[in-house]
Amino acid sequence: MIKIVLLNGTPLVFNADECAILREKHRICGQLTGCLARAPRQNVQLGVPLQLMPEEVTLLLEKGAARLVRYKTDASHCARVQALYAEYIKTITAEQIELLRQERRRTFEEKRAEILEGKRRKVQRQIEARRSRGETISEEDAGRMENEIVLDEETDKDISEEHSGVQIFRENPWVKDKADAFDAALDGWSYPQTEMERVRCAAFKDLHEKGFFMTNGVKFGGDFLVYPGDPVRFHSFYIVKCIPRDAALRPTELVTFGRLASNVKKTFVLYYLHQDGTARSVSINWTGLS
Amino acid sequence: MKQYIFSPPQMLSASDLLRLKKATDRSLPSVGGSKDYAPNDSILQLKQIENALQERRLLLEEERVVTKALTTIGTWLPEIQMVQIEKAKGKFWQYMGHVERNMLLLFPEEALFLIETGSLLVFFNGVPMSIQDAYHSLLSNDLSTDQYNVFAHLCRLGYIVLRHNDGIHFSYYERKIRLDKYVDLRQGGKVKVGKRSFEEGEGEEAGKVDDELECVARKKVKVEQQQRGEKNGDHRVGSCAKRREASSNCPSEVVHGELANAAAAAVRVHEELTSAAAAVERVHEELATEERPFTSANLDIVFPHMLQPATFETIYFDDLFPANVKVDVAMNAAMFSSTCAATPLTASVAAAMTTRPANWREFKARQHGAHSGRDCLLQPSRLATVNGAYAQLRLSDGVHLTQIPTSGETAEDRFQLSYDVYLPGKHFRKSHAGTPDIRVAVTRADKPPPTLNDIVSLQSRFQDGVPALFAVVDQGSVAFYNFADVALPVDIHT
Repeated sequence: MIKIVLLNGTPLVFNADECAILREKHRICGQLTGCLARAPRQNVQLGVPLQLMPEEVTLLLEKGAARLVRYKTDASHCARVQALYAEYIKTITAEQIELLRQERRRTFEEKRAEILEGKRRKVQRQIEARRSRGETISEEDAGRMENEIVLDEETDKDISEEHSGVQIFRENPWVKDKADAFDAALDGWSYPQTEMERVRCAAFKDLHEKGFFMTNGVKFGGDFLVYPGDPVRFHSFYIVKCIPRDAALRPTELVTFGRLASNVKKTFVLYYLHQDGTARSVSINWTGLS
Repeated sequence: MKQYIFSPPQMLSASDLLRLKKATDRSLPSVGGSKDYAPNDSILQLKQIENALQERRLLLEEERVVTKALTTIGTWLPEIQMVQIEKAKGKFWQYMGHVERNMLLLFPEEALFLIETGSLLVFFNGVPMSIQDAYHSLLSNDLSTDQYNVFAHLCRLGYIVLRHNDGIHFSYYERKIRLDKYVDLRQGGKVKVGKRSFEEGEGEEAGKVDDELECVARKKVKVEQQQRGEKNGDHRVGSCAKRREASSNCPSEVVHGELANAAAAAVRVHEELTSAAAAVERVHEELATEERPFTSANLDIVFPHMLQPATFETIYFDDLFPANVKVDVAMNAAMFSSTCAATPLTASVAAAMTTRPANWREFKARQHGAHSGRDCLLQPSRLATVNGAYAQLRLSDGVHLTQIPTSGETAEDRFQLSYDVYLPGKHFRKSHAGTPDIRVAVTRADKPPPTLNDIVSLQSRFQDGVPALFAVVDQGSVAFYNFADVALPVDIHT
C-alpha cells in the first residue's frame, strides 16, 4: 500500500515508484517539490518528494489505496542501523578500491609499452642534460640507469578512499520496509472540516470519478486545473473554483472569470454543494448575444 | 533523451557507484513542444504518453552518487538545530553558512538544500541521513515545508538567499555614502563594525573619510541596538572613542559596580548615546540633499474650525517656525482679532457652508455668492504656466507607496519577511552582504491577500527602495507577487 508521510501537516510521498503508481494507476498527479538528482539546480523538472493536495489524500484514503503514516526518525539511526551502515560502508569502499586497482592495472597493461618508452626517453633526457652540464657519464652508467626503470611500483601505489563514490539515499535502505519506522499518523486525517473544504473535496471527487486529472490552480487563479488526460500530454480544459452555495457573485466577478478563462482557451467552472449534498457545477462561457 | 541510469534495487553496487559518480548526462526532457488537444484513443497518442511517463519515472528513480572527495561531511546538532561541518568542500561556503563559537555551521534549510544537490552528507549518531531523514529532522515548526520550498526554489534559480536580517537599517542615502559597507551583519546575530578594504588609488583623504564613516557607523549601530533594547555587551566598542576609557561601556564594570563607578558609567553611556544620535543626525543634515518623503507626521496639522470664533492661538504653531524667528504673539493676536472683527462671517455664508443646497438653483446662487472665485478650479490670476494650470486641475496627486500613512497597526504575524535575496555575483561577501536586492515574505494561497496597510507597512519599513515580494505557495507550487508603484503617464512635462 502506498505510504503517505505526514510531515508537519504536509502529506508527502518519498518513494519514486509510488509516485509513478499514483499517477499511472490512480490519476493522482500531486506536485514534485524536491531537487532532481541529475540536475538539481533548475526548476523545470523537480524531483521527489511529491506533495499531495489534501483532497487527493482524502480520496486515496477513501479508496483504500494509501495509508497515512508518520516516519519515526529514531529508527533510522538506532544501534542496529549503525552496525549495518558501518559494515556496508566498509565493504562498499573496499570493493570500490579493489575495482579501481584492477582498472589501474588493466590500463597499465594496455599501455605498458608506451609507458616504458616514455620513461626511457625521460632517463635519456636526464643523461643528456647532465652531459651538457659537463658531467661525464660513461656508457655503462647510462645503461645501468636505463635498466633501473621499475614499472611495478606504479600499480602498488595506494588508492585512497576519497576516490570512491558515495550514494545519498532517498529513503533509508535499512528501515524503509521495517514496520517500526512507520506508525499510523497520530491524529488521523481530519480533512475536510469547514464548508469550503467540503466543497473542494466534493468537487475533486466528482471530477475524479469522471476520469479527469487535477492539479493545483495557482497558475490561473482557481482552485484546480482539470485535464482530460495526463498533464504531460494535454492542456487543461477547465479552471475550477469552489464557492459556497449562497455565494453572492458580483457581475464583475463573472466577467473576470469568463475573460480569464477565454483568454487562455479554457472554461471557468464554479462548483458548489447542492442541498442534497451532491456537488454541482456551473460553467461560464463568454459568447455573443446570438 | 539518451541512456538512463536505472537500477531497480536502491543500493547500488560498487561498480555502479564508480560509473555513476561522474555521470555527465544531465539532459532533461524537452519542455514545450505541442501537446495534444484531447485524448483520441489512438495508439500513437497512448505510446507517446507511455514514453513520457517512462522518461519521468526513470528521472525520478535515478540515484544520487557523489565522489567522496568532493562531498562535505557534516553533523546534525539537534540541540542548536544546526549542521556543523569541519571543512567546506566546494564553493557553497561563499554564500551559505556562518561561524559561531569557532564552529562552521549551516542553517537547516541550507543543509537540506546541499544534501539534495549532493554537496553535503549529514551524519547523526554515526549514520548518514537519507533525504527522507533529512526532511524529517531538519524541517520543524520553525522551518515549514512552504518556507523551505521558497528557499530551494530561489537557490535553484541561482540567487543567494539569506535569512531575513532585521538588523541595522540603512536609508538610501546611507547606502549611497557606503555606510553599510562598514557594518558586518553576521548571520549568527552579532553585529561587528570594521574598516572596509581600501581600493587602489585612494590616499590619505580617503583614510580620513574612512575613519569618519567608521565612527558614524559604530554610533549608528549602538543607537539602533539601544533602541531595540539590546544589551551593551552585544557589540564592540569603537576604537574611535578615544577620548573616553574603553571600559566605560564594558558591562562587567556595571555589574561589578562600586556604586559611584556604576553611576558615572551610566551617565557616560547616556552621553554617548545622545551624542551618537546627534552625530547621525548631523550626517543626515550636513550631507543630505534629497527631499524627505512625506511621513504621517507632516499631515498632523489640525486646521481650526472655520465657523467658530478664532483666536490667534488656534492658528499659531510655534514649532513650525525656524528657531531664530521671534514672533510677537501679543501684537499678532491683536491684529488678528481686529481683522476678524472687520470681516465677520455672515449668516448666509455660514449657512451655505453647513447646509446642502436644496436644488440646482440654490447651488448656482451659492456659487455666485460671497465666495465666488473659490469654486473655479482654474484661477485666471494664477495661470502663469501650463504646468501651473495642470496643477490646479489635478484633483489627486499620485502618492508613492511608501508615503501612504499607515493606520498604526502593523502586519504582524500575517506577513513576516523570511528571506533576504541577493543577486549572484563575484562581489558578494557573506559578511558584508549589504542591503538585499529583494526581500521575500512567504504565505499560502488559502490565506487572504495583503491589505493596503500590510503592503505599505512591509514596503516602507526599511525606506531603502528594496521591493518586498510575496511568495505564495499553493500545495507545493510557488508564485511571486510584487506590489509596485505605477507612474501614470504625464502629458506635459515642465
